[in-house]
Amino acid sequence: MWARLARLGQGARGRSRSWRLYLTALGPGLIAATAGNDVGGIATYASVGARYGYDLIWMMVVTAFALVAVQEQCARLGAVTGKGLSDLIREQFGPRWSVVAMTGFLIANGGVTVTEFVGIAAAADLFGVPRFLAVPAMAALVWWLIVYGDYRRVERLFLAFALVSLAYPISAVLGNPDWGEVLQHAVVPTVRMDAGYILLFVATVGTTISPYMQMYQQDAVVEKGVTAEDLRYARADVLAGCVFSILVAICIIVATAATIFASSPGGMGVEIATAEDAARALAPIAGPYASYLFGVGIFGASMLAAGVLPLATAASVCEAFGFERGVELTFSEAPIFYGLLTVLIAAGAMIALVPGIPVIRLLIVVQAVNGIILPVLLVFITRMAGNRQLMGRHANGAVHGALAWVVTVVIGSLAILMLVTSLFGPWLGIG
Amino acid sequence: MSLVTPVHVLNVAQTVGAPVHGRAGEYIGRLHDVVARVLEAGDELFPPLTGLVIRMGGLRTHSVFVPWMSVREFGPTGVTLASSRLDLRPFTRRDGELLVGGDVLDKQVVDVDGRRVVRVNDVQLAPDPRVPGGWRVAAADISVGSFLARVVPRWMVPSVRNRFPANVVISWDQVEFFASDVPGVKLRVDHTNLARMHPADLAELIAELGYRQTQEVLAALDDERAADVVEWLPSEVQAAVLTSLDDEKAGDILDEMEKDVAADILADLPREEARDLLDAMEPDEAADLSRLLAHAPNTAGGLMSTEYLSVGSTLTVAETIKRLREADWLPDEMPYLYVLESEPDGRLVGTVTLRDLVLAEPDTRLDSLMVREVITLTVDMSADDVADEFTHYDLVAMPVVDDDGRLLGIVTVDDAIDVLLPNEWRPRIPRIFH
Repeated sequence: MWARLARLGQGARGRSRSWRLYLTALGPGLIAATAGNDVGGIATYASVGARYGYDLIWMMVVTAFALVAVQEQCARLGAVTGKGLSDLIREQFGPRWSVVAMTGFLIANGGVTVTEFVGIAAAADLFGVPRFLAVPAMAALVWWLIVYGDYRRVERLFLAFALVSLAYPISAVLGNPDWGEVLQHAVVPTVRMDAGYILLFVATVGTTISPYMQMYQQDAVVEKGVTAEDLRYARADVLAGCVFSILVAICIIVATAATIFASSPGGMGVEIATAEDAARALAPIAGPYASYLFGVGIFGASMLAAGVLPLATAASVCEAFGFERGVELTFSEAPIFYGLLTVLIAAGAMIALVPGIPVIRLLIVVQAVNGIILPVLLVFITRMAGNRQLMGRHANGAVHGALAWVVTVVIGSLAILMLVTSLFGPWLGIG
Repeated sequence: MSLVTPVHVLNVAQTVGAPVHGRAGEYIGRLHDVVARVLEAGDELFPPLTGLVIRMGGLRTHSVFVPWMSVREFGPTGVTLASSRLDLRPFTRRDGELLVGGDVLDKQVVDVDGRRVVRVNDVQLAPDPRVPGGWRVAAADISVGSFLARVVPRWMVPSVRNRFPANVVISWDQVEFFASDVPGVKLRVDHTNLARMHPADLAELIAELGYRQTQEVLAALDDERAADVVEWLPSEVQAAVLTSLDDEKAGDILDEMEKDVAADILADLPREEARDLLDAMEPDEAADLSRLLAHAPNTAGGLMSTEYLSVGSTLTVAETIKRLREADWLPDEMPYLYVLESEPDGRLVGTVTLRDLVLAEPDTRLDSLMVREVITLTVDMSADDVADEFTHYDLVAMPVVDDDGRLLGIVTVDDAIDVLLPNEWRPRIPRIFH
């Protein structure tokens, strides 16, 4: 476990002391939460802003509380038990339930992996590179880097690219939105009962609190040797990460609302369909170069996650089921690990290349699927975090436990509501 | 992996849940778990079963303990008790008792023979050859088939078993489980098997374990051994492992570690944590370490270690060897003895190899034996330059001196080589001096 994430290439530790100090105090939580703002996140938030303007901002505020509640539980589970999430689910719930949980992780993370390659395809389009060349080449590169190369090093490069998402707050300010209105929508809920609204709602929750963030959060806490005594630092880290991630998400919504929604015919909002559309939200900061800036950002974020996600997922599944795992082993020593890794990357790349696939729609549907799987995993997490035998005095108290269950039940109900409205919406007259 | 195939074995996972009947054949409840006694070291390597935990009742279930002497039949299809009278007090755990299903099943254990961490998919029980009617824990089953057999519905189990036999089992005397996985009771698990492993193998195991198990393993080793294990850990893991230990244990381990490695770890930690660890160390070891820490990590001062031997130039060979024999501490490896103009901290005037020392006449004085042309490093020399010096002169160790020529420490070639290698290669290069 100690070496797991280091081996996975996520334990990026620099040489200078201050950087390391920062990573000890502010680390896994910040990275986990920021990972929510990947290409699927950007597409979802941009769609929310373009379609409904500021209407859904209140939801981000509510989601922030849920995000903190969920991530804190994972950090606590990791710090108290010293075990990763898939490890702990197997030990606490046995083989059958761990198959359920791991299937959930596989579907959710597999779906997100597809979106990362969709992101690479979109970036290729923006730069005028044929996607049928770019996507297979990048998939092969990612695979090669993981298996033979040094992913940890290039990872930092991609991470730097991905920092482009910081352009959104600037763009949001330059877009000159009505901040009073933004604030009003942040505290006063606007609720609509149409299938599109509910789909976006669930997708937003699914991308902001995506299952792989819980896996990452807990594993990273474990790998850094955070113990129950250090819990308050881990909590501060989770809080900082969540607040930062939600602020960036809100800025993406505000930036798209101030540009795309505001200029939509009659102020009715528009569906965005392509990356080119979504890139327009960066126009206030980058002008005519907005699509290039956007392209660089999603390329970096996608390349980063396209490697880390399949790797972490394959390792996690193998850990739960007791298969040999790790890139230092040979193919014949760890066939299932390498098989999973390869299938995840290859399938992700191939699905992303299906001709005529509605890009933004696909991204949002994947986030919505995450939103459906999330409550299932939350049941595992919340039960473990409340288990006094496992957690001792660090188990959920009455208030914390109740809050965690409320979050689980609300997200679960939303997911069911979404399934009902998207499948039977037309008959119920709310399509 | 030694294979245990007794006449017949029982799988715990397949037995748990089986119906329990009384003497008259009346239904009592279902088997909930199997209790084994973890014995004191040196006694029995296969823990004998001391009883069963049976879950009774409908909606409000409760568990009771049935001692082994009250069990008449124990088999895959069910359990029959020798009497119909039960002690109905709820089951509570006692120290030294292992719940085979609850504590071992699905947990990670160490396969000592295979030197790896594995997950237990099932536990095999076998009749105890020494106790008629008695059973004992025989092996941990880690085969895929045993996992699948627990996932699929009961009617599919035989066909799964046919296609995927339980073909990977680890004899229980080669299994080390973790007491830290067992909540609430004290288990004496002394990990003697682990203590016998090579530190490099142990380090690889620890890299896969959580901090609680790591604490348990390191606590079971003596400090010197634990220090060896920590030295073998990948550098990015060392600091995390040490900070997860309590300060006292971490301090004891740091006392025993090579000073330059210890200094590297402390340099990687936030200042406060490093100070706490220094405070937990022996004062003179801590003082040594603090001196090393004062140097920037990418200079000769940062690379150097204070583990060397120096002697005065007026000593004879016989006196020197006598001193070596009587010394209460010597470095693990000492390619050279450093000869000082005067003890204890005169200028460095030469070096003597152990080879020369052994071959020379006993009454030869060191200053006539030593090599006077010593190539030295200065404290603030950059690490890259140090590495260049090593490749240029092809030496195994070089002394570091201050402006007045007084010896401060030595840099060994393995530490210098680290500078030349990309991070990822380091763990694969065997340490020459450890």
